[in-house]
Amino acid sequence: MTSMLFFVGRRVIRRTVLGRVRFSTITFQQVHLLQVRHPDLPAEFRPAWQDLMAETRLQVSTGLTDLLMSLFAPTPPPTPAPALPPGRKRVNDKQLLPSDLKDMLRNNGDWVTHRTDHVGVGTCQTSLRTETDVVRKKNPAAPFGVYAAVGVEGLADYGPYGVVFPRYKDRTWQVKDAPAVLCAVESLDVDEAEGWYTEEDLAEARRL
Amino acid sequence: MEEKNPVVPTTKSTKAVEAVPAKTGTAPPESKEAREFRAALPKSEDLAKAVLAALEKDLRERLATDPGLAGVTKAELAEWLAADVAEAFAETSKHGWAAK
Repeated sequence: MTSMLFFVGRRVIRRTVLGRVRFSTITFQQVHLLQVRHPDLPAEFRPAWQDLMAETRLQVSTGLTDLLMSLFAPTPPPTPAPALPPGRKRVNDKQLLPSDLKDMLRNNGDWVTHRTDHVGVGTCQTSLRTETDVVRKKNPAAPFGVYAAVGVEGLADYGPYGVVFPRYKDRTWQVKDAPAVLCAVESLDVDEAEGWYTEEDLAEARRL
Repeated sequence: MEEKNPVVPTTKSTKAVEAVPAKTGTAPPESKEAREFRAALPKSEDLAKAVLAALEKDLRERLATDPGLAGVTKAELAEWLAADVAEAFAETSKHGWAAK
């Protein structure tokens, strides 16, 4: 490599890694929830946080060897289509099964997910309306719109169902206290959703 | 293109982890709130998995599209990543989730 390009490349990697590690860490679901609860990390919590960072750093460092092998493999590793469990049928055509979720988790940032305890909304039988939004129930003064969170997982505290929408398609999802996002509409039709899942299927997708 | 598979050095990271005082050592006992906070944090395995998956996606895209990375070898990238990951976690550890 010429020296100039070498430095450009070096800088691109550094920026990518610093940005990604930080973003992935602070938007990780449990971390985000703690951040909401404690906007300024109190000094007495710092040792636990620093322990987590040290452990995670070690594991990421260890994982870099596999990551490099994967990046420099002649072709990306084949991803066999996971077989559906025998007899498993979709409740309706919007249901996302673990195999679907596994694929979506790979492009996690392309989705936003609304978690709910409302069965009709949570299984894409009725449109998602602001009245059933758990965020609004908990905080009626929250700015108008429908709330979700970036990624397939959503904010699990809000219910066992996840309704997934494309983040960059027809709707504008404004970031409100990341990873929470807000779509300033009264309702979102079932057709706009990519689909829905249960938290059990999401947990299974993570194990695949 | 470099063919060998360099093993990313993790010696530094190990030392950093070992340097953290043992929880049962001479450190003062944590308050109830601090224990609850610790319990509510994610498992490091889960967090590391998420970081690595996202990082792989980012790096794959950069390697495919950024002219500055054309011809970068695996050994070079291994060295850079080891340094950058250490720096990234040191920063995040230091600053918590506050915006820098």
